[in-house]
Amino acid sequence: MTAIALTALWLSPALIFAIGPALLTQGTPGLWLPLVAFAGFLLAGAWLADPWGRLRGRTAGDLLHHRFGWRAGRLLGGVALAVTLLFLWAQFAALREAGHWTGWPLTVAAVGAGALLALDLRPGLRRVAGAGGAVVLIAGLLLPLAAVLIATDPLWPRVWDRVASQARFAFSPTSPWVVEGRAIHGVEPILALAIGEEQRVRFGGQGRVVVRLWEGGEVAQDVDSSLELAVRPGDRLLVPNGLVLRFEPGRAIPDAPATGPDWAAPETPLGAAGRRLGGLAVTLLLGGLGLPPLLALLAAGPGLAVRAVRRGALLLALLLLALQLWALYAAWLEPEVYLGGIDGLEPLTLPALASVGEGWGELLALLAFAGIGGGFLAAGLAALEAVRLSWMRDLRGGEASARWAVALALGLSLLLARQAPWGGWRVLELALGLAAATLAPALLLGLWRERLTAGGAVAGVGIGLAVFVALALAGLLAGREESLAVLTRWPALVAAPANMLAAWLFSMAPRPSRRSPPPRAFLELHAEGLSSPPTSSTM
Amino acid sequence: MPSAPRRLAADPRRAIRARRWRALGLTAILLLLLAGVAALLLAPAGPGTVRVLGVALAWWVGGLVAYLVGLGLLLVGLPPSPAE
Repeated sequence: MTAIALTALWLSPALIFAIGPALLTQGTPGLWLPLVAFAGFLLAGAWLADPWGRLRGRTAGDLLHHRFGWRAGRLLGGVALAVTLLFLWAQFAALREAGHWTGWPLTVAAVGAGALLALDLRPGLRRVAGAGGAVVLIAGLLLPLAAVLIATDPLWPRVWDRVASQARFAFSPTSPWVVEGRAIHGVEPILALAIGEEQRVRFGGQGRVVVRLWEGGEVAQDVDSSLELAVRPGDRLLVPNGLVLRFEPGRAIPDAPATGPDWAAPETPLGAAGRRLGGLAVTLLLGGLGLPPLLALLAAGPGLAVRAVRRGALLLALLLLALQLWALYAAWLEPEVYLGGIDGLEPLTLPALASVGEGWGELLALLAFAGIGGGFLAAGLAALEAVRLSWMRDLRGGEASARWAVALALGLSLLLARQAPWGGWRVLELALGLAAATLAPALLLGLWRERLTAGGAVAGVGIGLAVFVALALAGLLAGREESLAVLTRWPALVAAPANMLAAWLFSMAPRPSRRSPPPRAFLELHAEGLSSPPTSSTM
Repeated sequence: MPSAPRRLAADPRRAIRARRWRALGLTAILLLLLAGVAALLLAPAGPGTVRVLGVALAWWVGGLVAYLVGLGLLLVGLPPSPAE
């Protein structure tokens, strides 16, 4: 079960909701995100699983305590809490995004928080719910997709071929958006539709829409089901989320790429694209090494953690491929997915539209939605466990106060998801970036470098934290300053190397003699049961 | 060949260093694969569908190879636990 739990934690709803939209909006470069997400999991497994499993530690503070007999609890515990809080906030932001489909996004997020709290209070139920949620996530992502593939075309390279060579993304005469109209869904409360071709838009309900004219100025209009509005290329049509719209057949779908080749290889300046790939790679490759909920799960015992990572990697590869296929098939079968911007849940409505059998489509789409709920429970409960561990082991809090810490973390995450305009993926990037900048280098060096000292580890974490916070704040204050964008969006690019360098420089202990054995605490990380290290060396 | 616990007992530093090199090797190969895929993604696309399809299909092949090589390395590359 650890393998399934690890997979569900790494593939949390905030990441799931980023993969589909990345492929749909960026085309080929959008394939980078799942690839580095997979590589990040592999690296975390390769570097951590064996020694961490043997340590049986649960937090980064445990490692320093084991090696140096000294708890740098406050600093490491505080950082771990901050990373976990960001992770939890990201999941709530994703849940709120999904909640737009019901019309009550905040209610859905609040129900999610209530469920997490109720399950977390019962340790037996907590474990079952976490594992059950992970299983539902896996079933929800794989089974409906398999049905869509079987009902349409299981050869996905052929589907890629079709989408990438499409002459236009236009409304077909049989599209439900043309025949009866559908409610538009997106991430924001007000959706801005970029009009690519002159067309008439009809409305299936009452609401206030605004047309931002291409030549400047805007026109506001109260609409109802009898009204028709003409829009021209270059206009932007602002409509409330959930309003029913009808379009003309054969006209270009607003917000969609003009053609298949435009989708597959969008024109992006080489420098900007390269910086994006690099920033994502550093954040995801190192982020997994320092993510506290992942560390808590990996402490499964020697051998068990390694086996869990091996099986989890296999499962993760399958699920990441599945998520890309969800998006690819959505672009093929339901190009209207582009309308109003793409939210992460939108590709998962595919079974309801593809002909997968009478009555089965809606059921399978519901299973996919339930999978997201299961993933939220699995990731959320693992995050709450990490909060509890940091509180009790690093910050030396009691069991009773840990409950309050968990409740506070839940409330704060919910509040942040309500107040801040950021989507789940943006916040998850911050969580992984902070983990990469602070805890990841301390864990890597702590597990593998004999000469690391406690002072070096703490100095590294402190400097990584300072650089990360400074760059993140600079990003908030400087806005979208192009020259700074790469560093402020992915501060770990600088903060992680700074952390490692500081830890290295502050650990200038004399080189140990070849004849003297390694310290026992260090040796125990690599060989369980070695109680008396040998006194001579063959080197 | 002596087993992992025996090697550790005989020369712990060398055995730990060997493990570290194996993890570094896996990291280096993964990074090389990622760099290859990144170069492919950043390659300027020429006009026409054929070029676009070439990049796309190359990704599918390259991506799948990266997945499989990564998995394979993880399966054979991780040092066995001395407890096993």
